[in-house]
Amino acid sequence: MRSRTRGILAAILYVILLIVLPRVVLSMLPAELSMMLSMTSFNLEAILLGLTYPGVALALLALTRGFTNPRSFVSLGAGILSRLVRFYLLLFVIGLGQPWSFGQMETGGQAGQVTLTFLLDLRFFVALAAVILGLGIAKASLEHLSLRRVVPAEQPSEKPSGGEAAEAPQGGAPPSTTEAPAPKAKETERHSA
Amino acid sequence: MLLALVVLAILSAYTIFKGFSVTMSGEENIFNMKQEVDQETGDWLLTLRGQPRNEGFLPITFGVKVRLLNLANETVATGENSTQIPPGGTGTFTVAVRVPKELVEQGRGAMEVELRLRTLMDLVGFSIRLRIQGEG
Repeated sequence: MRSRTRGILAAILYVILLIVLPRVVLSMLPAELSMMLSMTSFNLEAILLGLTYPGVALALLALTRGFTNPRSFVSLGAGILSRLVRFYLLLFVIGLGQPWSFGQMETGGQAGQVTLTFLLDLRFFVALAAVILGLGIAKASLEHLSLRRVVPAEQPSEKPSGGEAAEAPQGGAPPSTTEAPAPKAKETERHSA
Repeated sequence: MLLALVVLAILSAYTIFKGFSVTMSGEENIFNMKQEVDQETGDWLLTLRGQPRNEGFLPITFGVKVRLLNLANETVATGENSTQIPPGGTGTFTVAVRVPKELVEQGRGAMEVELRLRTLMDLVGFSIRLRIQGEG
């Protein structure tokens, strides 16, 4: 229940941050600024869409993680995918809508005989984020592996009680008493001995 | 780790944009361009001097590059200089370019001025390149 609630809350947060908030901010921009931005190479609609898709993807992945067993491969896959989407989002934001510039954004314009070019070099942050992404994926995979290893280690201690309960009907107990407590099964064993 | 990354990004962005806003503010003595004519050869001597200030939180490297290009887009003359400025400090740079007499007479080609600002041990940067095409 707790992980489900967390998943739902995370999904709501992603929708608010990446889908609702950018639209609200855009609607509140002064008209002069909107006009100035429309004169540059920035396509605000494309930027909004570029934030919406990762927002939807992250919300769905958060829900998937919340509603699946943390030991399942689906949960691991959703965790890794959400990290990749967040990395893409970072590339998108750093590249001001050009994610495949990998932190080296170039934009500009021309007016008559004057050409103005702006170059923003944030490759250091992209490299750092890539390292964090790699470490995050490795951590998630190791955690998942350790979670899956815990299960077989716990099974031998659980098996005897479960096994006795399952063997009970074979020892002469009626089929309807599959939920019979262990002492009853022990009694039948003693009786047969 | 992520928090440190965000803090570094904010500090770098603040330093860069503060540096450029001071540079672009048009205050006196930040940029000074002087033009002289070499009487012997007829070439032009362009000298660009500047005293940029750093009002950010991190040290910056301020660089200026001036290039003159001919019609074939080949570099005819170039000059470059940079200065390191501590937070709250001021640096000076001088870039001198000799414009060949032929280019002056033709009035063709282009002049390119690039202002570069790097911070965080030169790992992060922002540049503005202004290209002015001569009338042909």
